[in-house]
Amino acid sequence: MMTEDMLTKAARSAAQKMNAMLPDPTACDHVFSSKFERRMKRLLSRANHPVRHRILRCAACIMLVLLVGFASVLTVNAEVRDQVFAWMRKQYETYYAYISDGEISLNLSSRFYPDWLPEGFELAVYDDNTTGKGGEHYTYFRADGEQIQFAWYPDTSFRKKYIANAEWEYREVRVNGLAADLYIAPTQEERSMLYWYDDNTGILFFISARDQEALLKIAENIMKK
Amino acid sequence: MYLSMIESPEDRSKFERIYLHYRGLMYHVAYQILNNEADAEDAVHSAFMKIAERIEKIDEPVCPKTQSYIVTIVENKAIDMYRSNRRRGTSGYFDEAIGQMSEDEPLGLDDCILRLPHRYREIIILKYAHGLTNRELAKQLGITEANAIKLDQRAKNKLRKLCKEAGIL
Repeated sequence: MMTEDMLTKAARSAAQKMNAMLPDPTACDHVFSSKFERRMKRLLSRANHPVRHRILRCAACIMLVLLVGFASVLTVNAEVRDQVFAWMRKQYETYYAYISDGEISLNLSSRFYPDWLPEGFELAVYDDNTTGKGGEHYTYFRADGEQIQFAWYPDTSFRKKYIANAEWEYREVRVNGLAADLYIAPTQEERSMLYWYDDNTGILFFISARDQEALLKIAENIMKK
Repeated sequence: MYLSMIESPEDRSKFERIYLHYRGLMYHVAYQILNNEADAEDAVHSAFMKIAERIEKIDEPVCPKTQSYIVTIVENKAIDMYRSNRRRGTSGYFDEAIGQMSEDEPLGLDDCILRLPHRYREIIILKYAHGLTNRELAKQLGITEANAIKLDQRAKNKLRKLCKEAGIL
């Protein structure tokens, strides 16, 4: 008959015998790898700051919940999705395009115009939006036939703006602190183009001109009416 | 998970002392089983995570009882790692030394425990020498509680058989 008490005594004795088979811990030298040291340092530092770690863990959980919630809202709510994605630039095989899924309600009481133009340019064509989807398109001519175009497009409805050929040189620039896309015309016969999106207003702006410096200066002087 | 287990300054201090005193020995045990430095370090790290889970049950960080518990845990982790690498036929750290014990001397119940296969031996040592409950055993060894109970039964059956063969029960 083997009682629990006998087992306990025997197990303790066996443990002692096992200890006797081991080398002295102080004699077991080993230089641990930096990977091991890092992992143990993390473990020890977490052990030394359990409250901080718990707070960080809670924060991570909250972030995860928010992310999952936000993703769900994006999935089911087209309005929010449009607010987030608005105008998007896409590069296709042979051209670039800006696409908006639209259908968000913006207060379109504001209108936009270039407050500065190179000398000699006069407004020749004005289109207060062309396809009934909001925005305006201005075309300016100079006596020598030189042309500048300016347009602004709200993302209120689905539309796709086909723009520069994909072979044109593309450069990222800034317009009054906003990221802008500059497409440089490969020949003197064509006009370079600048597009930028203002996510505060939901407006996509467009200018085309032969002179790149003038192009950027016009962009920086776009005003609200 | 283990982080929330180390909450009091005493436990943190105990854990650090155990780490500094026993890490070399733990590596030695793991390396004897795994024969690979990186794997041995992984086994030591896994063992420390398990030790952290029940640090509050350890009274004295540097003592024979703690050493026995720590070595049992690291041996278990090293053998698990050896098996998870689809290698078979490993022996525990103590098997060779136990195999060399004299057959001529009269055996006691403790010697029969030492002669158990290492899976059974660690169950008996952890449960009866260190007082782990079945639930604690399951957590420490990474098995279900039902399996811990089954292993305990099988270990005791095997022990009875060894004892009968040795003529001590």
